[in-house]
Amino acid sequence: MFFKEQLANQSSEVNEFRDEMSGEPVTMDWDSIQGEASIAGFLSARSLAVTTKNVSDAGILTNSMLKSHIEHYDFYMRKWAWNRKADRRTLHNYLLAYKIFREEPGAWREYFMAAHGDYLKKVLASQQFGLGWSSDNPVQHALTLMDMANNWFTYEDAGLGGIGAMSFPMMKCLRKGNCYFGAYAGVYILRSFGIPAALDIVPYWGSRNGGHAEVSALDGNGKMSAIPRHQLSHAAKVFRLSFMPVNIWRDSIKPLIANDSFLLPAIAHDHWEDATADHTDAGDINIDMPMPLRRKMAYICAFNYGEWQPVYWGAVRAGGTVSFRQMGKGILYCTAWPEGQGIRLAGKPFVWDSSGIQRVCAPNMRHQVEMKLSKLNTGARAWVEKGRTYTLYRLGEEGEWLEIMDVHCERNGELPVVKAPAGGVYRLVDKRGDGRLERPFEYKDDQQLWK
Amino acid sequence: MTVLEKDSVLLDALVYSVYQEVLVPLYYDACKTDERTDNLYNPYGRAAIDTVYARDWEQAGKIGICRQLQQVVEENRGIGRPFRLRLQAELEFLKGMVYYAMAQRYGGFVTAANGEGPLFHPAGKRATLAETYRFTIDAFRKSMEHLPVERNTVRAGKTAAAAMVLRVALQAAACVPEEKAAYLSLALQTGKEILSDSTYGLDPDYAGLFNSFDGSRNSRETIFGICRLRAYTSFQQTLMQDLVVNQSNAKMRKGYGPLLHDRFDGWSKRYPTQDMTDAYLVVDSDGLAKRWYETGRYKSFRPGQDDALPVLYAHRDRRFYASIVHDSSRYFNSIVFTRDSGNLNTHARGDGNEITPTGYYVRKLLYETKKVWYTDGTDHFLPLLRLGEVYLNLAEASCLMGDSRQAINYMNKTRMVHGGLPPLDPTTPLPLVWASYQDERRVELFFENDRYWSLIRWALWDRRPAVGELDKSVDGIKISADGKSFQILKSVGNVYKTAWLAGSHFLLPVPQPVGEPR
Repeated sequence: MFFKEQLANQSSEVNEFRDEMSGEPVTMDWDSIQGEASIAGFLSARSLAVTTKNVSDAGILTNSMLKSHIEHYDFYMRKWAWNRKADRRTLHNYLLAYKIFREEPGAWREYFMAAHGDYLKKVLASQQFGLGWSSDNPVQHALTLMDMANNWFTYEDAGLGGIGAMSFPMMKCLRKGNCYFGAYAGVYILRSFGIPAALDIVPYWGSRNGGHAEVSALDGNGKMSAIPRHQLSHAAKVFRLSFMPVNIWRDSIKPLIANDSFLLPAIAHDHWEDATADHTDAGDINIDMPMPLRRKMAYICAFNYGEWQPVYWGAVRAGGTVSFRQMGKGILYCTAWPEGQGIRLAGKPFVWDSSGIQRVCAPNMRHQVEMKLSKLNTGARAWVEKGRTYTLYRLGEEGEWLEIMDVHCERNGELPVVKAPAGGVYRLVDKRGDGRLERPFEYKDDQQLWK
Repeated sequence: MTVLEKDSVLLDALVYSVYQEVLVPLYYDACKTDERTDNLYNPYGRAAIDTVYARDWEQAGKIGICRQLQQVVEENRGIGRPFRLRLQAELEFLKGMVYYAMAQRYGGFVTAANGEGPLFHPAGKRATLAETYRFTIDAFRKSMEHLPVERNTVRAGKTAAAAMVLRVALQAAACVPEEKAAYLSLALQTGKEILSDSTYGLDPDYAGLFNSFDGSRNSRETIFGICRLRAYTSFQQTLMQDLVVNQSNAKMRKGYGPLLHDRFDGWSKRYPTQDMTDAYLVVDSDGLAKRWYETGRYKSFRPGQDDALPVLYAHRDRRFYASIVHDSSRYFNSIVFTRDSGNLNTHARGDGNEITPTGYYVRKLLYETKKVWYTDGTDHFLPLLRLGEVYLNLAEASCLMGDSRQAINYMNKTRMVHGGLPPLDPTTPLPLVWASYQDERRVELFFENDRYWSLIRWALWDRRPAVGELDKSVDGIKISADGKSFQILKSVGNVYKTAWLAGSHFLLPVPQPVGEPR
């Protein structure tokens, strides 16, 4: 019944491969392809072109495929007591579900039950024979299974360029990819073991450059939670991909969009829910938007690769107040209005601190602080380098970066002590770079605190 | 799904899971014992961090798991008697593996007074060496009764148990002199039975036997091994992580080169010594196998004028190329140079951290098809029992029985098939056969957790009071940047020895007083 209801809501991105010369469709047998450095190279070498189409799942899934998922689900419900603590929606959405979101349905359950069957059997046996060798807490198993997911693929910070949409047979063939790839594998592995699992995404960290994806899973209390060591701490927003439609896009966002582009493509669909508070300290930010435009929604932005990037939205209430729900704390934010293809910053940047206070970036110009600076951003390879010159900026109240001074580095990983107005938000920018990598920071207790 | 609810399937999986628990710490990680001999040099060995020997005493947990499972198997009569007996036998085999590890290290363990009670019984007595070896061999023989005949390289079978009987009997013959003849006879008889099974044969591809997962696991030579699957294993959990160098073009010191095609992110800490590499013989122009410094090529070498590499590394025993990375070798996708100013020379890192002090790296057991990155998953297979060792155990037993012709016959198998060397002359006198045999075993079983125990055994045969090879300085090599001269670097360091055997002790000290005094 559940699948019958859901099939109407589900569609998949399906690749179609054609011979570039003849235009004839080509059936790919991914299991037979081995030793290829990349799928893109494989396709190019064989002059194969790929196009991606959106296909209804009703036309993809056979009754036997659905039956297999149901049989597995029944097995998990009989075998694992932790599933009896979860509500039906969680179980259906994150365990029975045959896919995560948009990907072509594949036989991942059968594959991982076989590939990682030794562990499954060991836990089942421990339970069956009362050995007490394994935990009743799904979190313990989730940690082991996430290690197994990490071993299953090789991390490579690269997108899917030129190979269409990823499917499970392609994943098996490739076994390398970025954090999204790894998180898909993690969800599949946890679900194939019988633990409800979801893919949580951070399109933009806010507290560092770029984004990330992780896996969350059922905890010992029957709730979906971040897995220890896999939390998305200090994220501005975390979105959980939901198999069942949640319809926030359809009901709450879409009606607010006028003629402007919507700048949060990661949530421009109906299959997500807010999971920020499951990963990090979060709270609502309520703001009276300045410079009111005739818009029904506003954005809240964080700093990403040298510019302000919308990370969430809020509906404008009567009187111009906007509430941005469940925003991660300890991050530098600035609000903005949508304007055509972009945004117009509105109001003063502020740090949303751990006590829930919006702290405007107004340094004390009468008090100078001595700073020992060593890094440009959060990365491991972001240390200052001997022979380079850096410009120290502070953030002005209106969001502009005001130059304080140039500093020449004479020793790797260490700059001469500099003085700057205390209590501000700063950036240290390599004069020879493009200014994208350097991140804002506050300075307290002789440390750069990244925002 | 119903298959996952069958007791037989679950018990089978449970028993298989114990293989990893028992074998990985005691036999897989133990390949590192080579660095406690003159085979490998580990410049980072420090007494302060050497707690391995103390941990090795604590094996009651492994025995406890086996016993607990034997009980569970016994109680589940629904799985059928033959299957039940097979699982019991596998667990008995694994117990035997623990007993032998204890016998090797401590010469015994604590048993209950009746000999049947739990191992390490708090009120038990310390078993004598004679009791220890009898107990251990009995465990393997008992397991043989119900282990399957069929070849399966990841589960114990009859041949695996037999190979262990052979291995243990040889060691027992040295440790229990009063029963030497009986144990040697047992070794010879068991070894011959193994050879009579045509399922197994020496693998002519020695490199494939170790340096690829499939080659290793599926080789006809492999009787039994430790299989570590990628699902549960990352590089840092394998032997490979500590073999691969940490070097890249970005880290390379100015003036060193050529540029590498790889970025190496290993944590290399054990390096083959010159002493080790000298043992790989060269086929000289007269067709005879010699040490490299005894060849005609060496004798006519003109330092500063001729290329040294053909003198040093050409026409070697084939196992040399499968086991050792040397100057001008292929290594992953790069050609590497350990010579002065070379990309993997001792001083080739810009940050001043030294890499190989000896001029060599280990290739054996390393898969060069995938970049070694500590958190990435990888399969790895260690052949724990293989036909090559069986031949050499038979050669040793034959030597000790004074049958030099038979000993030569056995050792020629590995020497010719694996090494590509000419056979040893059947008329070679016994003392020379013994010396050749020791070198043959050294190169054949390099980095397989053998030399340490063999050196002790040989010292016992010879009634030597100490094992010199466990307590000496080791050499390396220095090749000039132009490759036209070289020198042997004397004493680049000492064999790693701390709380482990210090050369004059054949057994480890027991960490706390137990049982009767030794």
